[in-house]
Amino acid sequence: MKKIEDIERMEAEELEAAALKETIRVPDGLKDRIKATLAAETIIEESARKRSPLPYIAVAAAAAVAAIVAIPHKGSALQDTYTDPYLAYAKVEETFNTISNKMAAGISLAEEARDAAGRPAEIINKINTK
Amino acid sequence: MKRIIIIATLLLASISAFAQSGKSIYQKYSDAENVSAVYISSAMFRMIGKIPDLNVEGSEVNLAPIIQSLSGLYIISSENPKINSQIKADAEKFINGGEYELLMEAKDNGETVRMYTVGTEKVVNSFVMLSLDGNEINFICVDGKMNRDDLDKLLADAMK
Repeated sequence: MKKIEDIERMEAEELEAAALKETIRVPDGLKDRIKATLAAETIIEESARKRSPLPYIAVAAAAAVAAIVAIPHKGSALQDTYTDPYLAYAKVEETFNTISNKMAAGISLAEEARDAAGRPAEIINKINTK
Repeated sequence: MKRIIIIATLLLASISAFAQSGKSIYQKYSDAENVSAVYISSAMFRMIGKIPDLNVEGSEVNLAPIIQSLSGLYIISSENPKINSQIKADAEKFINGGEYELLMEAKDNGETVRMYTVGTEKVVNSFVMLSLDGNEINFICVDGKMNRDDLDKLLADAMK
């Protein structure tokens, strides 16, 4: 009986000749199974080759746009409008005053509306008390 | 393939979220015609915070408690009717995309003022005021980590 090393050293022709000498039966349907496996492998390879590049292009495009938008560009850093902190402070103060004034105007409108809404109730109460 | 399309969609969605902010609106319109713009950076706010006597005599508001918590102030005031609707649309896109909560809306003599905040019960991360009056539009965005109580007090004091 040959050892594995001996078999490994044998040429293809020698292996074929040795195989032909053997009397072991090839299992039924082995040939078909091998053919089916090879065919399946070919189909898988072809479908992988044919796969649409669109999703990859979409990801690449999205990544490129994300890079352009998200990564800070050279020179895109904003410059302070004021270099003097006192002037900047005055502007911040003015801004908060503006916000407060607008808010106060809104609140006074709401109060006026509340007063107007309360008037009918007052009239009804007066009528009821008479 | 589905996974790739989902990733691409998410990437694009995150880009659109990036697209609008107080800073981007400032950058887009600050150089336009008939537009006055003001930007104050976090570095400048830190410098202001180091002014020894911040509460300037005679001033109506005391900014001291809040000033160092601010990280950016962006103001765009436009009297350019050609771009006002665009500014409004961009500001609204920014507000709607940033989970801002409407704080107040007032309409008086043709002027509409809306104020929005975003943050938690205790902290305001951003305050936006948008006012529209005829051919004029004002966009104010204050970013930072402002204590809500301090901000309320500041605005209430200024109203007195």
